[in-house]
Amino acid sequence: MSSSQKDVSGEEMIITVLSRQLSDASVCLTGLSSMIPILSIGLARSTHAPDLTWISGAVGVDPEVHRLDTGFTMQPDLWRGSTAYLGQTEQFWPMVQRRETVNTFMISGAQVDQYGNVNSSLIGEYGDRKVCMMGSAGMGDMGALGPPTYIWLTHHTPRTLVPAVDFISCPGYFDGGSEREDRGLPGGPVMLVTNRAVFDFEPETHKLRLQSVHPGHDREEVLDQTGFEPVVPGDVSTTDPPGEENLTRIREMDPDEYRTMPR
Amino acid sequence: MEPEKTDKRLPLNRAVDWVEPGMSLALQGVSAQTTPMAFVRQLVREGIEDLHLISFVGGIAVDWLTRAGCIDTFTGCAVTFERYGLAPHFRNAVQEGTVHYDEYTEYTLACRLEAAARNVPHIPTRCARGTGVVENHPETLREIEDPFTGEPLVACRALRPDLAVLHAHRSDPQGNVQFEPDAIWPELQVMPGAARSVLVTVEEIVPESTIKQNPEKTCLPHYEVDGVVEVPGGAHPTGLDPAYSMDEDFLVEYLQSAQDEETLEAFYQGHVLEPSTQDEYLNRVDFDPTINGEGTSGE
Repeated sequence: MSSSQKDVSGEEMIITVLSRQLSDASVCLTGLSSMIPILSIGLARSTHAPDLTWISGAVGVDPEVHRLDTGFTMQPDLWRGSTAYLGQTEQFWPMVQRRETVNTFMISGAQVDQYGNVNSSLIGEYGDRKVCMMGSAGMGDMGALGPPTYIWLTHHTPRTLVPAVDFISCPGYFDGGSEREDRGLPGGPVMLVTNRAVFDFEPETHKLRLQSVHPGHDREEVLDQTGFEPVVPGDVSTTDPPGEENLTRIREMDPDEYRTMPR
Repeated sequence: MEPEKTDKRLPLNRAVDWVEPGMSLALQGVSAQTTPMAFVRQLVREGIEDLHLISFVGGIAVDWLTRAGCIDTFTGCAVTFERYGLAPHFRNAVQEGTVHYDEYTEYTLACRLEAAARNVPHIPTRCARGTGVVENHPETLREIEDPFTGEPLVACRALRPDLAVLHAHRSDPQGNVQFEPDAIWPELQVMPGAARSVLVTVEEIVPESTIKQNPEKTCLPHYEVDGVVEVPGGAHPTGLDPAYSMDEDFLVEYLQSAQDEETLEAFYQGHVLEPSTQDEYLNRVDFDPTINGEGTSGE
């Protein structure tokens, strides 16, 4: 392992893992605060998935954006060189409801629970917010439609990975098992990638299951920093790091490090 | 002899007279884009209270109106400075209980406004089922069964704001409003139809003959608009594509200043309270209307 490989940041690991989930058949959506999804799309486009489809800000289709130079990702500078601008009310929202076009949805939040419910709204109660956060934006809408959803989290701690979220901004599997299906909601989240590890969902209980631990981290630390007991199979692998070339690609796309998020 | 067409132009300081305490005000704006900021600063200077503000994604406008004590309820789906974090005044006011954050998802709010725009009591959607948003709005969002198939849906009750305020590229004096590149943002598509009155601030007022050269760019015909106000740079520091980009440095400077009260007060005085005209404001912020080299015509 070279010296720069040791210095791969949590955000760079997340970008790398997300980009590996994308293929030429992917139709990805980005919205608010989507620095990390945009860079994972950029990395996939410049490597193994040049023909993936990217709907930027739910408006610009396949923009020619190869560099991230803003911390506001719901904006026209990230639509340049698109093949189409979708009207959000007239075209975008009807389209996502009528068929499974968008097949890759990447979201984050302040809390994620053991069944993949995501909270970006509040700590406390709805009528009495101890901590007021951003809000559910479009993720609650999309979450009910059930496209394959990849949850990313830059700060993996017992405060962010909790047994049950305070508020469901974006529904996962509710209390696990068949509850999502019983409620008539299709699909659901398929992966959680954090700055420490990668999880998928155990198919029966729909509980988060540890899949791999990033280089430089270990299993004990990951479990210690998780606020619930995830499913831990016998074989937990080590996440493949990005490799020298891809790490350079990420850093060249984002020289000012918009990928780092405030704590 | 033809009857004279109604001239709907009015100055900014008269436009805010349309806003009364207790009113519901739908304000255009998605994060750092296309927010009628000159109008917002005027509202702040007038200090109108008890407003019910409705916006999709709030940013600096919501934060300034909160600091000025103008709003008691915010209906929207997010308030954010994206990478730079949360809106400091809005966050504190909600946590202290002085402002109620009436949180929707993006599309349930769009459906509520669209229902009003179509004059139907509700619009159903597949979106947002299972969220805390639906659970906490029994009076306006309800899980229903489709009467034909029995499928579960969310009914979004019509929301009719008293006044919608938008910012656009140009209008003629009669209120034929044009937007570039056509209406892509949700507010333009649903807010004007939903609201009882519509006020539009524009970069420039042009003759009707200019509007007629490109009728395909007209997003609001004159009969949908009650008043137009000419304010060049009226969206700054938010962006108005393709005329000018958002002023990210300004937004970051504001957030940094908000970390201590003295710096914040200086910033706020200098940029919100003191400039009495739009020209003076634009001078202070070094506004360059040709920031994208396009001007407002978008040609």
